[in-house]
Amino acid sequence: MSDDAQRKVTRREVAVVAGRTTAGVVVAALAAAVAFASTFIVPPTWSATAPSLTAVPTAAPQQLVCPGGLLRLASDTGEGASTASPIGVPRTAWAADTAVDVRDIAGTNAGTLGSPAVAEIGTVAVTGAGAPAAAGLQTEIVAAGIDGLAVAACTAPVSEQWLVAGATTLGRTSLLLLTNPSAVEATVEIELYSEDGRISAAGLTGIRLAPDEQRVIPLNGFAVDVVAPVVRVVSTGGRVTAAMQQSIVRSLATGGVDLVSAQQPSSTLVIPGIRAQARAELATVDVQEVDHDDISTVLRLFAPGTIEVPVTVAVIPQGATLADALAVDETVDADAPGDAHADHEHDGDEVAVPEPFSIRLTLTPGLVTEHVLERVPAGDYTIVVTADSPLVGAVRNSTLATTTAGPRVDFAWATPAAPLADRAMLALPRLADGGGSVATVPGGTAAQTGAAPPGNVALGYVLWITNSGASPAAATVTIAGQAPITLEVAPGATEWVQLPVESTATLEGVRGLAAALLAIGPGLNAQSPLQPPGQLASEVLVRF
Amino acid sequence: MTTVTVVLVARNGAKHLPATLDALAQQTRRPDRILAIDAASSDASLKVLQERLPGVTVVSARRGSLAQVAQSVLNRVPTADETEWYWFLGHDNAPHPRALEALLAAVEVSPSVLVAGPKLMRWDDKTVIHAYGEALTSSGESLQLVVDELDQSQHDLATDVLGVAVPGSLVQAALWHRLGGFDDGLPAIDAGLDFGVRARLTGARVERVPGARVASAGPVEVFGRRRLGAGTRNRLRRSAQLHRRLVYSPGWALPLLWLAVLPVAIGRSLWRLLAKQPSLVPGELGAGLLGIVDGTVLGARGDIARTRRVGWAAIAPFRVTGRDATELKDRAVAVEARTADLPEPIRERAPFFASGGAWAVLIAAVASIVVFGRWIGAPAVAGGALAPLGPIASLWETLGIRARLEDGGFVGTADPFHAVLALLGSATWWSPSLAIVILLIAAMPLAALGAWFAAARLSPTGWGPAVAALGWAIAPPLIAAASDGRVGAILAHVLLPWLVAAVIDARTSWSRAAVAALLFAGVVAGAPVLAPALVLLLVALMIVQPTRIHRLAIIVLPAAVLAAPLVLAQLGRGTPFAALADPGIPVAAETPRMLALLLGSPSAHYLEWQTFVPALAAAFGLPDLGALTGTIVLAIVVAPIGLLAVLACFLRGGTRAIPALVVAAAGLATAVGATVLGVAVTPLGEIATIWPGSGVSLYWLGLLGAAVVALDGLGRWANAPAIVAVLGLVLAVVPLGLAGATGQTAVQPSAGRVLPALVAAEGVTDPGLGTLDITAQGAAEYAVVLQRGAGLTMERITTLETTRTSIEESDRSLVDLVANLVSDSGLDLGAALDEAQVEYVLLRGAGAGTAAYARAVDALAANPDLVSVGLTPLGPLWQHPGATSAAPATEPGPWDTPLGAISAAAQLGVVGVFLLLAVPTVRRRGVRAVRGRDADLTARDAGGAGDADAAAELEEVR
Repeated sequence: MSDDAQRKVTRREVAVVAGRTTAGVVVAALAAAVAFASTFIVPPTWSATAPSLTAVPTAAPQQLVCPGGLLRLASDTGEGASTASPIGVPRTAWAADTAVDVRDIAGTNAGTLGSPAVAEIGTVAVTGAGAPAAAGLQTEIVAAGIDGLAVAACTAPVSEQWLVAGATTLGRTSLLLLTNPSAVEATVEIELYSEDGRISAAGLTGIRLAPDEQRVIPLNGFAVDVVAPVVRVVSTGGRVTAAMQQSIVRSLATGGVDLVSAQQPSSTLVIPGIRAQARAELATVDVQEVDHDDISTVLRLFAPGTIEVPVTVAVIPQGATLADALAVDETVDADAPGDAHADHEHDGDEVAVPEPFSIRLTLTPGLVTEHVLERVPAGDYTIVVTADSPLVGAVRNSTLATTTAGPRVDFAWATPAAPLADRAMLALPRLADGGGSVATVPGGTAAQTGAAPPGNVALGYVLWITNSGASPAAATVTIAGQAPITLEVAPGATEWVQLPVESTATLEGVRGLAAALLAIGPGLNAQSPLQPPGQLASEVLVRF
Repeated sequence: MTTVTVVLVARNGAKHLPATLDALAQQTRRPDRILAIDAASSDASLKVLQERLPGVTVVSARRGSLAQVAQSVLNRVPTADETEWYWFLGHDNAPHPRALEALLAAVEVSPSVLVAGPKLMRWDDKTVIHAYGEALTSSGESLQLVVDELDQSQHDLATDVLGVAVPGSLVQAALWHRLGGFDDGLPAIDAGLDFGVRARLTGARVERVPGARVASAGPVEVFGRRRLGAGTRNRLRRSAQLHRRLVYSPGWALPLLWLAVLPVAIGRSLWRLLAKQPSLVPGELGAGLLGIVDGTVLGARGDIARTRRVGWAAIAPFRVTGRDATELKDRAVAVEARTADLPEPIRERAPFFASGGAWAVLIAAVASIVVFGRWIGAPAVAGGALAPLGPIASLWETLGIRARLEDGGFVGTADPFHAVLALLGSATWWSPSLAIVILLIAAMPLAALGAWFAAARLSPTGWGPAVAALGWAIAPPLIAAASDGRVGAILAHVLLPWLVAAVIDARTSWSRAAVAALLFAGVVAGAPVLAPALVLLLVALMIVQPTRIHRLAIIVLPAAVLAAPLVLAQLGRGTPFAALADPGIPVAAETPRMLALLLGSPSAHYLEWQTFVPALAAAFGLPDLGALTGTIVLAIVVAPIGLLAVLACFLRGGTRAIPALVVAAAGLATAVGATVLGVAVTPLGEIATIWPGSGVSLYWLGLLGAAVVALDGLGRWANAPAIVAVLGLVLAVVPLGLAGATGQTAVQPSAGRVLPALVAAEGVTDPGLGTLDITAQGAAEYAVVLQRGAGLTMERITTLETTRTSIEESDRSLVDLVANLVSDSGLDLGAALDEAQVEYVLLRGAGAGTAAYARAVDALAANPDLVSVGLTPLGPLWQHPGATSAAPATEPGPWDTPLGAISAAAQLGVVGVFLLLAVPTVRRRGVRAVRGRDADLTARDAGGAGDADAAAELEEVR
């Protein structure tokens, strides 16, 4: 009886334990299966789409600001050394696909208000979809203590821009011309860099410009004895245009004047339209020892940022290509024993034939680098500077001619030309001395590639078109009233065409090309790159 | 010569009739006539009557109570003389052989006694008095003078009563006809009492006769019915009482009483809810509604006025007052309760302080302060999914279906979570955001507390509750939720263990069911994604225990009513999954793999182990072993708890682990499901999936539950596994905790503002103030929110808005405005801003450094229609002076649309009812205590397993 009970209980216990074990094993197996599956199973997803819309902003009218007439810091009588006054009368021309409404600025400390030398604002109406091609150009030739030719394109206001030009050493005057064409007050900060680093000075920040106001700021008043200034102009509120007028007086001899437009940093600087004169001819210019050498052809470069930037500078004479220049690396290795330059076959003081070559430089952050291009014989050049990060730069070269009135020296800052859009316009005002003593020469119809570009004999315009891309381009230049001229521009090459004064020209098929206008005359020199049309506001994606 | 007519009414009484007829035949004083009435019986009653009473014509009548049927038949009988008596008998009123003799003796001795009632004895136990005389309380309630008492002749001395029950009563036929018979308005209950009252008002006396015993199978209202629910009985009783009150009242009080009928009914309904008798509520309301349309009142009043000979003072001595009345009422309730709800089982209280509960909570509190202590003292925290809360008025104003200014203005419903927010915020009404800070910091100890009590239900002693409390407090989803500012998920996590405990109890208690329903509403409001899993689990529970369906079913009711407007709106929009979206600001995160979820990580980074291990290796100069090492380490540290959970099935009592593991599976499935549903749009225009953390919480709950069972089953071998498991869980959250302690959380102390101080201050007084809130992204992309007033504070962020993916016309104009604002534009922006009613433009500093930001700053600064206000901590701000603000969203308010009013009323009503049900009241327990059977119950309960399973078992025994 008790055995029976014992067995019954045992049986029951066995059943219970067996049941539990089975349940446990099943659960454990399920858990293991889930754990195993979890390592590779990726379930499908169901997801809504985030609502977003793209919108194209309504196009705004384009504004182009011409900097106004050349200025001097003292009146004719020599009084008021800190007050600017106009020297002569600039000539301004406009060209655009659509109507241009030109108005004078409303206020300026340049003393030009009410005079023909006043800075002008051209408002280009926007019609249709794309940005209209438009251009304004201002030229002025002066011979009144400050001598020379200055050509400046009228530029669009931006909130950040760089000026690579100027010097504040003895006899060198640099005037910063800021103009606020917008409807709101602009607050401008100026960052001034030199060969020794950044220069901080009171008065360079918080410069307030009322709408339609121009302000002339003499850089000499903030930093003296700066050989190579580079200026960054940042505006908040209204956008401004900036330009720099530099004039040189060596002892008592005038050394020229130039008006330089602002540029935007870019990792590729294409600088066409550099006309170098033979060093031997320029050697007659009386350069005092106290002066630095600012008669040679000099490349000034600056890399914004905080890291060293290695750059490659390709010097391309007319007729050669970028590839030709890059193939000849003439970097002077500072560490190499002896003078690498001396070993070169082109030794000697003067090289007669322009040859393409390239050099590699390293830009120190915060410092402006100037590199004298010693071996550029007389000729026309395009310089292409490439780097991994954006930089700014310009090339200064001088010209000398003996005129009836004696030797005449002028210099020009050649600044980089930004890639153009499909179309570009050119307005070409009259080139004339204030006194009209130098006859204006109507430009030739066209010049074939291979023929020599016109020399500095007569006043005139030469347009340089550089193809820094990899595929050949065909640019069509149509001078108003004339048959179109087609320029086949090989990759890396630069072509030219002479343009008549007092006309307009239309460029087509120039997308991605860089172009600069060179204005020349005996002892006169000025370069102005063509501005691409202001970018219409691109479309925007808005999420909500 | 006295003649007695037996008025025998049979209604479905074939079972009782033979005995009754036998007893009638054995009377020592044979009745002179028998008037047999069949009240439309559906059984063999008619046949029995016809067979057993061959010489008697059986009258057929319509169905009704004894009084009703007798009334309908006797009304047709011509008025009788004073020597004729009616003896009313139902089919179950088998009289004692000497009953009629005794009754007649009584009326013959005293000529003024015109109504005599016998002792009604229980049919099944003839020694127990079922009823013996009725009376009124001072307020007019009717009372049984005797209810189910053993007959020890204790009531034999007092014979004068106010009334007697109709069954078995002997009434002088002349009086009966003079009074117009029984009152039509009292079909079942109180007919006899009322007749007695009216008889006494004519000067007659009513007596109960101790020597006359008549059987009774049940109360008068059950006459002829198989059974009668407590609710119906209560309705009948209330109806009768209302009728009598209206009939007996003085004429001047009648209108007032009539007007008070419905309010009183509603008040009594609420009181019934408070008393946890929800089944009586329909009866109360029904009686009230019937009472106001009671057409028999005036007739009855006329009858009384016609027949009354003496004043109402004649009744007064028979009213039962004071303690006697209370005692009688309590007794009636106690007797009735025997057939009503099962009592709440009295459980063994697990010793919270003695067995480590307090320690667990304390440790959780310390851990919380270590991890989130930086938030202490902050007036608000914000970041991640959390925005600061607006002022208290705003919290309540935004509830319901109403016009909203956000999103270009729309009419839509708030989330259920906003009701919770309003309640939370009201706790610190002077600064509602403070409540969120407190909740975030207190979440861990609160979680520990809830988990401890829930685990103590499973395993009252040993390691289980402590392990559960700690494991729940430092559960990865809780810490992650707090770090990310997911208040809803935190709330759900804290409430889940309480919900489990309440659901276990809900099977046997209405009150607990209501508590569970409110907790369920809270959990689902906080983490809507848990709703499908929880509902399925409830359904599974109903299938397992079908007898508890009614109490389990109501658990989903408040949540359903609260969520209905949102769910309907989302269904109407064709985005059903969006109804599951997390409340608050959507946050886009990398989707965690299933393995991460399995290891308890709601994020894709395996609780940050994937970055923690390499960082640790780097700190000690060890080779970088890669992110996979982090996964492996996490898998190792959470393995013990997983193994314990599986082990539970092998151990004694392991069946209790199965539900826990089912919960875990449901949680894991929810977590995986959440990761695949991208429903909401972040303020930056990305798609955010539902947060899987809430699912992980549920999964964790199941794991811990199973682990508790395992520890219980391990008994004295539980120490080492428990310690290893807890250590593993602590280790698992070390990287998360370190991130919190070092401030690397999305949530940061905040000033409690969404917009710059200037705008926020202006927005408080001007709710329509428009601020364009722009965040620049990439080259030319902008995320835009048109803020109104003080900005999108938490209560104004609705999932209806965050899950909207359709593009409306208002969006197009907004997009155009933004595109032109951030561009050099030729558009008249002043007019556009005026039209959009935008006064401020905020460019978030978060986008600084992008090309889009530079473009926007450039364009905004150059805009002549905007004045720069300055650089705020949030980014540069511009003002468009003179812009008009949008009209405040007052129309329509929550009560102004039909749908809004209906849903608001339903929500308030349902939540109110459940609150009343849930509020703990002690009344019933006090009554119960006097009952012997309950005492037995308690003793067995305490000695047994002490949980609801035992109680359920007992209920079945019963």
